[in-house]
Amino acid sequence: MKLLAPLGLLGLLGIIALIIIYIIKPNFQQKYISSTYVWKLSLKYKKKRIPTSKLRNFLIIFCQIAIIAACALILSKPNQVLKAQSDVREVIAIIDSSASMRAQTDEYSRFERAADGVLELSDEVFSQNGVVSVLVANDEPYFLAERLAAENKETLINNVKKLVRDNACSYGVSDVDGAIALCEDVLTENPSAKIYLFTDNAYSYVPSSVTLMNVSGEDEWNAAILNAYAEVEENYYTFFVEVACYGRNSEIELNITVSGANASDKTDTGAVYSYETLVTCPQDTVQRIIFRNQESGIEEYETENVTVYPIDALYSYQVVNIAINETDSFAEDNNFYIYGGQKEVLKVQYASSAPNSFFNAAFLVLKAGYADRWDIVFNEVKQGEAPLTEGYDFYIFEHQMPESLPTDGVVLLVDPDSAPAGSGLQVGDAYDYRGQQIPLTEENPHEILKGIDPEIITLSRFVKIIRHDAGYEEVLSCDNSPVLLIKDEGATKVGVMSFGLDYSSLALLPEFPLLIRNLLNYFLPPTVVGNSFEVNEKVTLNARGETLYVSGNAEQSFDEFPATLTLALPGTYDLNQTTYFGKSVTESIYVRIPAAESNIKAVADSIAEPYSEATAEDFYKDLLFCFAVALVVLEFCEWWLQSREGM
Amino acid sequence: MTYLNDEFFSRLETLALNLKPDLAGYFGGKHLVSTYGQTVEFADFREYQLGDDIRRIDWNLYSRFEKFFLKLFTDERQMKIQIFVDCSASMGKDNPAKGAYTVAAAAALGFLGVHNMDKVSFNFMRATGLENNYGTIIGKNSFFRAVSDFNNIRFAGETDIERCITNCNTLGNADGLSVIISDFFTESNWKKAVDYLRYHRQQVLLLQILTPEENDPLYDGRVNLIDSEAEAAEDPKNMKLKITRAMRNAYEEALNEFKNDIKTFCAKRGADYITVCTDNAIERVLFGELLKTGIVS
Repeated sequence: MKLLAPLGLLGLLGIIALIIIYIIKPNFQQKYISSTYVWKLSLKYKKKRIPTSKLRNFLIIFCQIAIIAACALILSKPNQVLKAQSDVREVIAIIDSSASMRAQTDEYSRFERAADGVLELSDEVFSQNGVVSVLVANDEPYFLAERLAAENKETLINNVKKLVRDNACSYGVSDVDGAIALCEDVLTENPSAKIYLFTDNAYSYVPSSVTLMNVSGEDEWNAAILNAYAEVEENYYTFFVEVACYGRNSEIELNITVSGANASDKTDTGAVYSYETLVTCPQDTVQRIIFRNQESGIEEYETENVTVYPIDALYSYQVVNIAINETDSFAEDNNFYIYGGQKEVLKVQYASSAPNSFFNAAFLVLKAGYADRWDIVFNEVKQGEAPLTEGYDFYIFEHQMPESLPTDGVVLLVDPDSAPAGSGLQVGDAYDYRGQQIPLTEENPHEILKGIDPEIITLSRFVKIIRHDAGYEEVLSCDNSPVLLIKDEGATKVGVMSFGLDYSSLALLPEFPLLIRNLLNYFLPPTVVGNSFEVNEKVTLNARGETLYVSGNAEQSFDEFPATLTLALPGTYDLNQTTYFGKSVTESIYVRIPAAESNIKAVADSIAEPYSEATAEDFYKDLLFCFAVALVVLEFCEWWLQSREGM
Repeated sequence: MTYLNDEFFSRLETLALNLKPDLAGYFGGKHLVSTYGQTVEFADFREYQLGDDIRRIDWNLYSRFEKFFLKLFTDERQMKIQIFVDCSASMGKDNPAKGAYTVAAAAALGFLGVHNMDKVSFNFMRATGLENNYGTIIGKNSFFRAVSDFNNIRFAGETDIERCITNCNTLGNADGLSVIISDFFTESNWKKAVDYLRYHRQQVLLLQILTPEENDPLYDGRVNLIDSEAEAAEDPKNMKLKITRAMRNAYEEALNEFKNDIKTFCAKRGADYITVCTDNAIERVLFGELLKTGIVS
């Protein structure tokens, strides 16, 4: 047992006080009576109880002493020692592994300085027979060395040196709070362990248990491209570039090179345009440079910290490279690439024996909506001409069906009067409800019904699908007969609408273009949404073929979709695939350093206070309750004995 | 508190002592005895025996039965009431009420005696001897003269009842009632005194007078009990006690045992015993307790 407040034992003076009280207790009071004769007689009746009385008196004094002792011990905070606290020095070194730690002076980076600082600290601690833990704080902090003692000094040194040798500093943000949370494991074992954070960030608040070791150099500065993107204005591209300078005021030379400009298709190399401008960057101020062709609307951009630079008319490009020609301390954000300037052509053929304008209208809507992704070419087969069964990405056959299904694109059969060869369908007679509108019923939840309420779609006539092979999935039905079927088996991608738009309310509803959009997204999903990401982002990949091969900064192959790709390194990633229809498609995305990391002189808010699970209860078991119970029991005994004294 | 006044005595005039008939007593008086005497009150017949006075033969019976029968008459005697009063300190030194009660009880019994034309003698027991300042009292005038001096009686010291009574040289044989008024809280062997009185064929009455505090002591805690008969603080009669409820129970048990002992002893010796508490009216004692014993009617 350990007394956390030994001075509480002064309460034991109460025992001395009790004894004194007993000593100076008032003596017998004199009482004059006629005779003590009967009292003397009564003694023989009383005598037999004397031993009990003596025992009771003894117990009363014992209880009183025990009560005072219990009170004194309660004041002394009695605790049972469960685990002895460690007396050896223990430190936890956290190496900030954020991208900004790559900033360097004379080819000596902050990360290397942090590693050397950790080695120096561990050397000092090991010389005192202490214990050292090393944490690397990247986006997912981990222990490089956990609670190593002096005999494992070499292990720690090798691990830290290997870290530097492998240039393991991340290109993303660091989760310092996560690293602090990991420290809590060590703090649980030894709450006296001190945390040293080797970082380049300044913090407005640092907890007392954390010692900040700033490894940034005073002369370091950074000119950075924070972000860049392209937008189409009046059919021509405008490029927006955000640059900033941290650590000093500077005039930055900004170069922009547009490759593959205005190419007719992907086989055309196009032209190359280069532009160069000087950007005056006051320290810590983001400057926006806009490269645009149009003169109109320029006043909209003429605001503070915005500069508009005229460029040629560019309606397509392969890649735009933006570069800063400066020798700053942090080079990783001096280049930027913009992709997505060449859209894939989506050729759509619409063949109908009784054509209507609903499909054309729907694709017009989609063309605008997918302007950044597809260049949709809608070709309606003229009356008397035979529809083609090859050379298109999306075929729509209405009423009159081809003899056989095309094999190089998605096929949508609308109100088929017969079943094309190889379609796996057997078509029957038409069901005509003579103007009665029958609502559709959803048979199975399907992606193509995303955002569509089938019950508001009604039919008055449809063609009975007598039989279909197992590859078809019934999506919608009318009067227990399937009216919308989907088949997606490799290169066979077929949709069947067994009703004509003339006999349905669908064509008049917004659900129709929505349905076409869903069909496109389902059969021809986008490989990736967007073309610019930050380091450590996780992107979802889809493919239109069996495999997707990622090259460039990462070499990785996927065959199950949707797949997730973690973008660990900055730079360009190429997404290569061959579609089920034999078409080779390559898309590029660019991964940039997080803009926050470009600010190498940043001041963060605060570091989270490390919460040590090792509370006093882990080391001591408070016996206060036990003593309190004992005190109550003793007081009860005292009361009982006192009440029995007069009996 | 004083009881000795005209009103007190006038209430006693309705009572009379009713002593045992086997006493001899003295000639004269009002007490009927078991022997036949010369009064006019018929008692019995018996056959004539040789030597009897022939003048007492009932000739009417002779005419009927042709046998000689004598007519017998009751006898009335004068008795002597000996009242022994314990004058030890325990009887009234520290408790005047108890002393006054004791004196009143003695005076009341004495009054009943003189009222029945008996001889009364007040014997105050002090230490080992008797103090009798009034001699044998006959008649109310003598009685009231003596009683007028009772207020001067002082209770002090110890009393050896045994020696006081056995040293009494005025005791006759079967000549009346001897009353011992005391609390009997004494180490002396009062039983021998009773035996002595019974040896003299006295009718004996033991009147024990206790105070309410003696019957039920209310004090408790740590008490140094100072005996009124103690001569000094170190006297062994004094006691230091921690009086608890248990102790009070023991006291009550001891007192009851003590009373039972007296009662049993008296029953064995043919003596009467009553115990009274000073918080009871003395008339109640005389009209109640003494009536129960049959001494008073």
